[in-house]
Amino acid sequence: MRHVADGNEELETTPLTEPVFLVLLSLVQAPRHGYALLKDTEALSAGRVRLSTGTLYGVIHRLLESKWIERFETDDTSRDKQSYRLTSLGRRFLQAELARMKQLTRAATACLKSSEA
Amino acid sequence: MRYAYETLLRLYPNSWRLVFGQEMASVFEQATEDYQPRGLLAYLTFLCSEFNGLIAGAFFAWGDEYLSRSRRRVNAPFLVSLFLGAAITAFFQGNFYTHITDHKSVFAPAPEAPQLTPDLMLPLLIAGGILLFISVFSVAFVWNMRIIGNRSGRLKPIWMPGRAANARITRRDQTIQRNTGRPRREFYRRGR
Repeated sequence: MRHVADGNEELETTPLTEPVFLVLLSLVQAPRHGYALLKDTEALSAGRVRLSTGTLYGVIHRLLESKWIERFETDDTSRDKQSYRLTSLGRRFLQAELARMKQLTRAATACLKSSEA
Repeated sequence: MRYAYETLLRLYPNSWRLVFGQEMASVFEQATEDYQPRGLLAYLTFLCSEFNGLIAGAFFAWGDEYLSRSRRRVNAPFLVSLFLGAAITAFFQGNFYTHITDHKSVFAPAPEAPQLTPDLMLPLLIAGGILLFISVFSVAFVWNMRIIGNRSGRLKPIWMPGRAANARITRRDQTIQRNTGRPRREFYRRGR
């Protein structure tokens, strides 16, 4: 198993992949189970990203190992549902990623404006 | 279709299936119910994407499993010692072999030692090489463990099979407990 500190260091320096970013974004709003995550990531990307269950659980596994999300049981056990929620650590990294993206967007906008002028 | 999916889930490592297997199959079933009414083409596209994702996911899961193990097993002291052992053995054996062949005595008994026949010399040469390799490797490994091993948390000794196996089992149990919120024994008792 990946060492937690190493995993976080690695994720801290590496930009998040789109599935990871979408899953985290989906969990910001409310805790969700696997199927709800599938639907929500599709909705958040306006139908552009449709995760397969293999990809989704790969992302979930990685996020659980890094302690960015945590698992908890819901009352609804009819379909082996396990819900996931964002941890404070995960929220912090998501905010850092958003700040990075904002900075990139600002830089790109400035470049485009200067090239047009 | 769930049966086919569960069969393909066997491609994943055991530890993965214990934690996510049922849940993945359940999500797949729900998604299947969602896609079936959308027409045959949409359904087939969905199935292709699912099975592709499953196979790719299994590949990465094994990769992750292998990497997490190899970080503890194949470590720098081991590799450095292996290289040193092989290099020094090759150097001495090569020199020895060249020396004998130069004097054309490898296939003939040396005058000063007629009892060393070629039939005896070759196994002796091989046995000597193996012994030399083991000796150099062992000394280098102990030396490297002292120098390198103390400086990194990741570089752990490899020759502790009992300890390594126990640590692996403990890690797996901890993963299950962390991801399910229940101890492993309880996990099994509930038939999941």
